[in-house]
Amino acid sequence: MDGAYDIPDPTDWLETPLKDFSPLESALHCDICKEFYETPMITSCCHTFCSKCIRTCLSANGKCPSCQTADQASKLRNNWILQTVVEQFLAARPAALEVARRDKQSQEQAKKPGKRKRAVLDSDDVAEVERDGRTTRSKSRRIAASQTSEPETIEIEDSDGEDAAYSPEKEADDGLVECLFGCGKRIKPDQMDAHLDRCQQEQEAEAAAKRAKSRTPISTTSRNRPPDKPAPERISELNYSLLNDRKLRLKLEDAGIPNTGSRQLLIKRHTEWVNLWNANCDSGGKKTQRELLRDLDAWERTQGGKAPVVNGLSSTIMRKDFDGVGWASSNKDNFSRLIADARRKKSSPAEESKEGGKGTEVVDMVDAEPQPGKKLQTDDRNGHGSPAAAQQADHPMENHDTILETTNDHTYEQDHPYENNRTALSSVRAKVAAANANEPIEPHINAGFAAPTSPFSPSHPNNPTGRDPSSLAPSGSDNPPLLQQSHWGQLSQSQQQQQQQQQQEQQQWTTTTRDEHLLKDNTREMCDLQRHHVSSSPIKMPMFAVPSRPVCDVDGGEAEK
Amino acid sequence: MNSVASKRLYQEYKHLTTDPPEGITAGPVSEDDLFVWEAIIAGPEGSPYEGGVFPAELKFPKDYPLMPPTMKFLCDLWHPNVYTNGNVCISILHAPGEDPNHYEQASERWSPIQSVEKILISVMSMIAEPNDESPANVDAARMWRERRPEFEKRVKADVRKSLGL
Repeated sequence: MDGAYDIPDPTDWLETPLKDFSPLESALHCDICKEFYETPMITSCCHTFCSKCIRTCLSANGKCPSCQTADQASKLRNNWILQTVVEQFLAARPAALEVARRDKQSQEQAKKPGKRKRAVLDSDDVAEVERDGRTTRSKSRRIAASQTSEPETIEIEDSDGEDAAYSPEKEADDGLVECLFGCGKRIKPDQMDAHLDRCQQEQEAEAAAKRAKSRTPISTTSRNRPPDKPAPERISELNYSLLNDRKLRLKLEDAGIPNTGSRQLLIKRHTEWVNLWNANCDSGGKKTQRELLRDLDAWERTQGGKAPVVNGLSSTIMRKDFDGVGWASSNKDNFSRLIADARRKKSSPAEESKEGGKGTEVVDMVDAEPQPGKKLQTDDRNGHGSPAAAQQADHPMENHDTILETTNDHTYEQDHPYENNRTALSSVRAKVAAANANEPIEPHINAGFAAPTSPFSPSHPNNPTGRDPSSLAPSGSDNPPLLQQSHWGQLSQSQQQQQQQQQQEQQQWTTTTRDEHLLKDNTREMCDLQRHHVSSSPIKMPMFAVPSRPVCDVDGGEAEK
Repeated sequence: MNSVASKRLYQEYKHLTTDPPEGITAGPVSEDDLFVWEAIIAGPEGSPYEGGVFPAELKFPKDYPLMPPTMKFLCDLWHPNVYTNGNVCISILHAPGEDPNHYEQASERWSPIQSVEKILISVMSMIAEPNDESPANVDAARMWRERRPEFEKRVKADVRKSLGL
């Protein structure tokens, strides 16, 4: 998993001498999200939850999750003192955990005058442990000593004595000492103090930077009281049953959120928006409207209109680290059907040529671009853009038309961007007709295709059946004539090609995720609609591609407040 | 970007990995998909299920934790509260709200403050102490109520069979 999943957990304390911190930390967790309270709110029944969590629950069934007492979101009140406690605990946690985990040597160092504390966040703890794993001889001896001397409690006096006994030996090793803060440097003992000061400052700065990005920002200004800055106004929940569809859409438009989808989806989306917005108000307006829209979009993709239809299939949840294996397995049926089709038609090439224009495996050949000379280029490009664009760049126009028409396939039916291209359609239809009539196709392809730069010189199209098997398709010499027409040979490799095609599909999928949109949003450019139309999945339709009203205006107004 | 559900599931996964309750193991089938878990529950001691190991599948809805997961045993489990297809019938897995039959208290049903750990512990205690008042498997419930020795004999035979003895 990625770093975003490196979550502090109460169980972190269990292997340390400070076991009792585990229930303490659990007590600072929201019962709903099981994470540290974020903007804790107290209910009428005096239970406390994160603002967003309790608002979501109340909008779902109007009851406190703990005691099932009916409650309303408007009656929630901030629990400022708990918020401060959580913030301060989070600030102290890394250092405390570090102290608890540290071996004898570090414990002794922490007790020296000046009491240097390390401010290292959890994400560093793992690395820290790894670094500690690289022990010197003397260190491992100290660890052994520490293991015997501290079974449960921290026996400070004993450890002092033992450690002092080992320190001269350590210096004798190479005269250098490893930085006590674990930065990995080796320093002369007399320069250690100076180094430690620097090292500590650096690490604190690093930790502060991380803390600023962390889930619960620790602000020293928001102690025990509402922030000075006037919070944005809360929006009220709507009585959806009083609104007809048109008015509901207007309401959503007024709120600056997408107003497309079914009525049920509109209601869910507006509810989510109200919860997001009001939770942000509870926190004193830490987030901008743009960030809230981003959160709403995240919701849209996981639980809203763009959510996967089937629960629990990773291949339908879009992510950066797209799960190729999952995708392959979930589309296994399609693959095996296509493979079976291809095999069947390979065994009867005559039939194949008759239904050539619409045959699925023809499509596959085309999509997979079996021409090795251009293969690499195509792959590269597909990493950054749509395959159509890449093909456009790679092929002469006539060729292109042929290819694109045949992409109209039931497997990748979303992928037919040229269905409105009449020139292409007519060109291909003519060829299909010719093929059906068993006439040799004398295509415009020839001109472009026989270009000297092409690594393959296709056999003469007037002699499709009598061509030399070794010239183009070494392993697929019994290819149907239509396939042999141009660069579509090598039918026997159809399986591989389908897989390659699949990979391209995945790359394309990966690069057209929402992140790209967010980028576009930031630069305030219109998003590249065409790309989304040619891409393979309806989920990728951008939510904010064509804002019905400019989002930036609202945001600008927000900033002035 | 991760949804609320996957964040919480990861949190629970981490917790269950580092500090699992006795006799219970659970985690996502694949870390790529946090919405399908597999759990293994050991037969409670002192019950006829003792010694058995019962794998089950948990499927989480995308609006978890608002809505409960579903649980299905992947092995044969002769039990009054387990359907013959393996689905588990237990109040903690029922969606929040009042029971239309006024049989279950709302507090017994699913609520976002519950967790996978609590579900599995509840199921474990359900295995040990069947509730024959609202049986999912009527035959098993009748056998449990009327012919307890036969019930226990059958369960023990199933356990031995599942262990390959």
